[in-house]
Amino acid sequence: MIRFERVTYSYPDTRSLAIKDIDLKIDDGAFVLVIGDSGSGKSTLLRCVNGLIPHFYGGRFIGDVTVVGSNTKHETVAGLSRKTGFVFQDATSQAVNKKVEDELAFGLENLGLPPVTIRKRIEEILDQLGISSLRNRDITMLSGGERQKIAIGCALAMQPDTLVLDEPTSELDPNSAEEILSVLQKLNHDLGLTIIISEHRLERVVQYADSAIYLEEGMAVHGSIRDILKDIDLTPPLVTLAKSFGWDPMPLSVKDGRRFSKNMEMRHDIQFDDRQAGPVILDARGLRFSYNGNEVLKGLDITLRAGEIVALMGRNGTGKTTLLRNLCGLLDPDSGSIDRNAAGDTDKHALIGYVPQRPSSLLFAETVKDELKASLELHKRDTSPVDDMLDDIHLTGKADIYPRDLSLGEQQRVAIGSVMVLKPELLIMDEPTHGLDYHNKELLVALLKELAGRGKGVILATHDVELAAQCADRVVLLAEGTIVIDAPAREVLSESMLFSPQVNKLFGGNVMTVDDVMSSSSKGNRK
Amino acid sequence: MVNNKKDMNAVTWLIYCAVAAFIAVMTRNPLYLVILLLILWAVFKTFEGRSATDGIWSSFIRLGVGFMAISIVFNAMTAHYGRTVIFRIPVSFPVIGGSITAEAVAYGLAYGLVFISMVSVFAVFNTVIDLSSVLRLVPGFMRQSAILMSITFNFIPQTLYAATEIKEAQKMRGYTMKSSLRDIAGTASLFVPLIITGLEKSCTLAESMESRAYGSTAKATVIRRPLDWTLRDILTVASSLIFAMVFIYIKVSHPSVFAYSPYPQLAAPGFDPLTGMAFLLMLVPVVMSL
Repeated sequence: MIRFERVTYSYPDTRSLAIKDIDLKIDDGAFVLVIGDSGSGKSTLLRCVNGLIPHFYGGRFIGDVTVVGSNTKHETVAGLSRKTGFVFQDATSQAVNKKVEDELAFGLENLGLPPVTIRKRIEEILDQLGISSLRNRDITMLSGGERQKIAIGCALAMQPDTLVLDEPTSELDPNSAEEILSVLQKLNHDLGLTIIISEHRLERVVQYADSAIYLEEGMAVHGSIRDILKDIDLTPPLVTLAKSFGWDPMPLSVKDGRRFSKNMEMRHDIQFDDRQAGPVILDARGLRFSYNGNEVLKGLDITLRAGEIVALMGRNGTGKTTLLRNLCGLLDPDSGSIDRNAAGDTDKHALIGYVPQRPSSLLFAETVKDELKASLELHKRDTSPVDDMLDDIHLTGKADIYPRDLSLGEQQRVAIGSVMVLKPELLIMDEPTHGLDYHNKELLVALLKELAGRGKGVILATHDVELAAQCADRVVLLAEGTIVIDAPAREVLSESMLFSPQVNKLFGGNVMTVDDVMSSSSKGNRK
Repeated sequence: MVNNKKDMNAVTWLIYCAVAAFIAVMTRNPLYLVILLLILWAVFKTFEGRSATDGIWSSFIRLGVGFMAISIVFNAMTAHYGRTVIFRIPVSFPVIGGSITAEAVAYGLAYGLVFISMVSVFAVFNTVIDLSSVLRLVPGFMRQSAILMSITFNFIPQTLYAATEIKEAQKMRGYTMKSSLRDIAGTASLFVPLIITGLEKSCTLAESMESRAYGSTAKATVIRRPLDWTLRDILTVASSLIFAMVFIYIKVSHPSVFAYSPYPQLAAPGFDPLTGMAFLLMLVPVVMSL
């Protein structure tokens, strides 16, 4: 059992409390989901379970955390590693070794276990997670899902009672994420392992959890998953619908949801108000690109019109980022042509805005305002549009704050602001919802729609099906460096088994979002 | 992808890289350095693709070329010796005032080639060596140092990868290498995100190590793995060691062969075809992988 008793914590050199007066109890064998906005204290709470807080971070720690009878204050992190395994969000940064087998052995070697025991445990883990074929592979050459399985294996090798995971699927495509969650469910069911997992994309994980901890400004509420979801705004589309229509018991999986949706009266003659696209502003033909002799793009054709939002989707490693970098001009294709009509090849740096997967790659100034001004000053332009842009990205009140002190969602808006202040015709974003909570995602969707409404073109590479459903006009599905389909978002997402949003899985047709359901359903359905 | 047909054990590669590094450090003759560079390039191209960060090394070599250019310019502007004057800068200019000579340019070039050769050896080392196998050969009491080394060699390509990501993002915003050297904002645009990203990654790694009992006992276990010695390994080790001995013999008996000084009068470096042929012994790994 894991017990938090009146736990309060603040990081060193800060006055604000990261978590406040937390009291909770987690039973053995539970599958617990930790929910909350960015900066609500989720990572802090998770790090209390394996003693990284307070031992690694220092700071002011009040109260007691007891893990399987041991008070974390009186144990070392190393001592607790036999009780609690920890998996971090970034699977690459946590690897000490290059080779899979060495990485699995690392923790066991640290414990000084006999070589025979270490070998036995490695074999067990390889079999248990179905990764024996990866034994001799270089970790950097593995896919995101494989790397995350190795990280889980490293934690499991220590034979802990509890596995703590901090957003383990945030960098994964839907298929890989489902694989990881299935592995966790199996470990929970078969071995009785206690799982504590934080995740922003709740639609992926709520069905696996039997209880949830909701954190808001460092305060925690613990209860059954349904009770918690009933009381909060951060809910996946299925749960939002369930709350709107009063479905009881609240369905957590699409399968459960169908019991309710099949009885609903829906109008299928509704014409959704989709945006009208303008002239072509980007036209790429026959793009081919190779890395080290491996052809990553195999003759792609893609266009973008003014006022259009295009989502590039596909598994990890299908060439989405490479395509974006070619379109930006950061890479030159081996063959094929790119006509950046409105952007103009001569000044592409000022006329194509690019926001990378980690927006922090762009941030360096002392304040948010300076960050935006720096872009304009670099191009020797008038800096007066900065205030309007701050308003557009909803950060006027935070203009004088150091950008890296902001939440991830806010940092992303600063990054968008720092490129959009140059008024490019085209915005290109790589995995824009990586690490974003629902609230920040909503703000991002609104911002992108606003930009498209002003005639700007937007291209997003994303794994986030719900994001594509909410804002994309067109979806381009990539596989093995080729385009499988390039068609209106409603068409692609409704016909896909893997890349369809929850709402579409429930209702079919061209219904994609909660708003679509609200406008298609008769009022009699509602609560 | 890993191509097992081409694999050789870590000790073989360690010996090969040590010999290549020794030759690079002990040679000043640009012609032999160019031969060594071509051989290293061939090895790199033959064995690249084992790690996701391989591509980063070509950027690193480009950076080496940049440093070589700086070395040439710096030497030319500050060492005013030599008889072949290209042009003169008025002596009223401090430090750079005086004759800019072809000899000083050649000297900078020769030293720049040594630097690029060392960078290339490092690139080959990172591409071909399974460092973890090497580290598993060290005695138990050196385990901490071995882990530190493993982390360092993992961290360098990761940092280079992050640097590329940041450089590209800032480039799209308008910052270029040129602008980054021109003013403080430009420099900050590249280095602030890089330093902070590096610190964040270090912090995650440290957390991950602590969470897996690092440092919990003085008697940590080291799993040993026997090395696999194939004909390729034996021939590569033999040819590398023979070449090292030939090199040392020539270096001792004819010290001028690998030396080069353009001062006081610029002259073409000497070249002995037989010695040049001996360098081809370093091509054995490429030949054996065909």
